[in-house]
Amino acid sequence: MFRTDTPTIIDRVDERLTDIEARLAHIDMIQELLLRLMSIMHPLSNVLAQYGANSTQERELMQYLDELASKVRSLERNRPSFDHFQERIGEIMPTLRDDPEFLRLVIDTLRVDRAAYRELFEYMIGQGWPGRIGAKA
Amino acid sequence: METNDRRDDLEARVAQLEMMQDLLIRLISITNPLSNVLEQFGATRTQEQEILKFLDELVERIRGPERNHPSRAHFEMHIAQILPALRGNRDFLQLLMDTLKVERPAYRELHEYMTAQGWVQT
Repeated sequence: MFRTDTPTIIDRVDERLTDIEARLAHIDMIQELLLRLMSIMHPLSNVLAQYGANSTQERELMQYLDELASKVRSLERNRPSFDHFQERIGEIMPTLRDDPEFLRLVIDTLRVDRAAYRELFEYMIGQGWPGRIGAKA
Repeated sequence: METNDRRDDLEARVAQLEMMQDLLIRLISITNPLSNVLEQFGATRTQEQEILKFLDELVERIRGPERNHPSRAHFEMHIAQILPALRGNRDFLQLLMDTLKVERPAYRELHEYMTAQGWVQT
């Protein structure tokens, strides 16, 4: 019978994979914490302020997002469309109507904002909204 | 060999993620995350100051002789005295301890102590 106590190539591969798995688990844990901390820093308000929104526009936009968040949970025929979203955001923030970066950042930020917006973010991703930004209808 | 290439690629990507995460932690740490957490959970300015003072005391104690090191029971009791409305709120306590990990360096040292003592779920 052939036996050896020295580590084989397979042992070494296993060790390195175990190390990678442990490091990824640590990254996941820290990421969860960072996302949680980020969500209480009102990232969407910061984005809007950065793009020059006043408090009335911010309130209107938040109210609209709240409506959308409740619509994605309702009957399919009531669910929001990308065109309506783009149009409404353009009405609230007319100076940013043709700014695809702004629209993209609003959608991306929903992912790290309050928990109520995360479902809305997933709906937008599921419907492929980010890919339609900037494309002419 | 293909397997080696994939493993090297994985290691490089993990290293890149770690580097990026370190940067995010540094950026988050200068935004006073602990104050944000306390505010979010309804702490007043006075309660926030008391908590920070208590944490500073804990840092001093963990740097001192072992007989003075704080226990988890003492920590929980004192936090509950400062924030009675959050007594027994496990989520709050866990988030409070987790947040120390991305706070100023002195609090990171406290977080390491808490982790070593098994106070923090990992």
